Amino acid sequence: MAGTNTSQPDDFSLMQAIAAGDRTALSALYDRYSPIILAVCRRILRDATEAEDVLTDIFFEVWTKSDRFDRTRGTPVTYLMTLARSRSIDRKRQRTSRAAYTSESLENSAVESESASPLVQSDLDEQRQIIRQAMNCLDAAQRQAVECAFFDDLSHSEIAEKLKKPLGTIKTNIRQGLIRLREALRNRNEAL
Amino acid sequence: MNCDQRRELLPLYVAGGLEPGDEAELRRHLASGCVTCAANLAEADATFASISLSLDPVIPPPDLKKRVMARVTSAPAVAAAKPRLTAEQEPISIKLFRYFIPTAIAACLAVVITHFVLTRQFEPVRMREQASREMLSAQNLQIQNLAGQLTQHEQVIEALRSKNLKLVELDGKKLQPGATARVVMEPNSAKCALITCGVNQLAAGKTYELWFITVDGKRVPAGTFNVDASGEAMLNTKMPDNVGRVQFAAVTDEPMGGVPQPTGQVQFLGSIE
Repeated sequence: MAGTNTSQPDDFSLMQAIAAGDRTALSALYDRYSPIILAVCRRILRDATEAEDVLTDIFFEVWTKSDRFDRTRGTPVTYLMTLARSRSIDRKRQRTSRAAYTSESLENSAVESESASPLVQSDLDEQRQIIRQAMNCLDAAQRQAVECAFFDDLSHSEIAEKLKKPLGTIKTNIRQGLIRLREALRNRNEAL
Repeated sequence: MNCDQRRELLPLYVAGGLEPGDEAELRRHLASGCVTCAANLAEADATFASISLSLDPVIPPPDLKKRVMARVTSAPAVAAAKPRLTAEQEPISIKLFRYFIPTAIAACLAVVITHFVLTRQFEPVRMREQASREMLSAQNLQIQNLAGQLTQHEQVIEALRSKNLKLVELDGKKLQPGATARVVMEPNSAKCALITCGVNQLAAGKTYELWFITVDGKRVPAGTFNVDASGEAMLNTKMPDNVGRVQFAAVTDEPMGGVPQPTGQVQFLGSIE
């Protein structure tokens, strides 16, 4: 499971502890996943301040609605990343138009704090590396379509219009891209 | 549409790209409680969500964690009490309302008492009717469960009649001493069944899950089961197709409902070849 080493609880244990009202478990989950969640929020919202607001909302929701996590339906990583995407898209739809930060300004404003707690990331880093390698193996069209489907609040018709490709091609690219990612994740699993 | 075909639709389903007709059919099927499709959906969800891991993490500013933890620990604010008005400050509407309150309360009380008396007279009848309905509902559920078990057993017996039957013993390793688990296969039709005896019962919230493992290491889920008090169970399933040559069969303990890929301990393992 993600984030495990011999002295750290696994993600499922943290979620269970959070459901029992353990704030230190929430703190540990924050340390483990806030960087990637913040990255998702910033990618979708293109606004550092709103991304931080949504991050706060997400962890508050994890705390107050801990009963919504169902371990039989997926891992905590899947739950958190899905929540990050959903809440960011919700916020994007709600907000009034404002001058968007350019991606360059977001890079410049990224905070690298040495006072941040060190994170136990070995398993999460491994997953990230596998996903990045798998994404790099997709052809450019598949990768572009998959990223649009996940990060942009667009229907597949809108993606087709944005990328100037037929709708059928977009659906095929998304489907094939996700199947290749699925195989990459399956090959990683060596539980037996 | 079978479950293998539905599995191929799931990437577009989780990405929101299915045609309305296919999406509706898939939703109905998932709502019916198909364990295989639920496991495949969990895998598709995990794959889609994993795209987020391709981003570079961004370390949040230190004060952000303080904001999160402060929000979590702070109790919601209590609304301030409205100040009480003096008799001179009260609007006429409120005074009239207060004048009629005693009368209104008396009328309500009369209605409530009458309702209470009448309800008590018919309460035993209503309770007996409720108890009968609940018993009937429980019996119907039991009949459904037994019918399901009967169907499973009939299918297993049909497989056992086959001339080309192949039987594979799964080794219980150290965790299941004295238990037996056998996979019965009918190679021509890809039908197979798992039959157990003397297997340990699991704690609440857990289930056993059968896997077929291919020569190139793919772990294909083949269904979940729980054993009765004597450790017996029958699971009707089929050999996976389009995954390559199957080399092993294995059973692990997993969270109730099963998982798309094994996470628990190996309870049984046997070579299909």
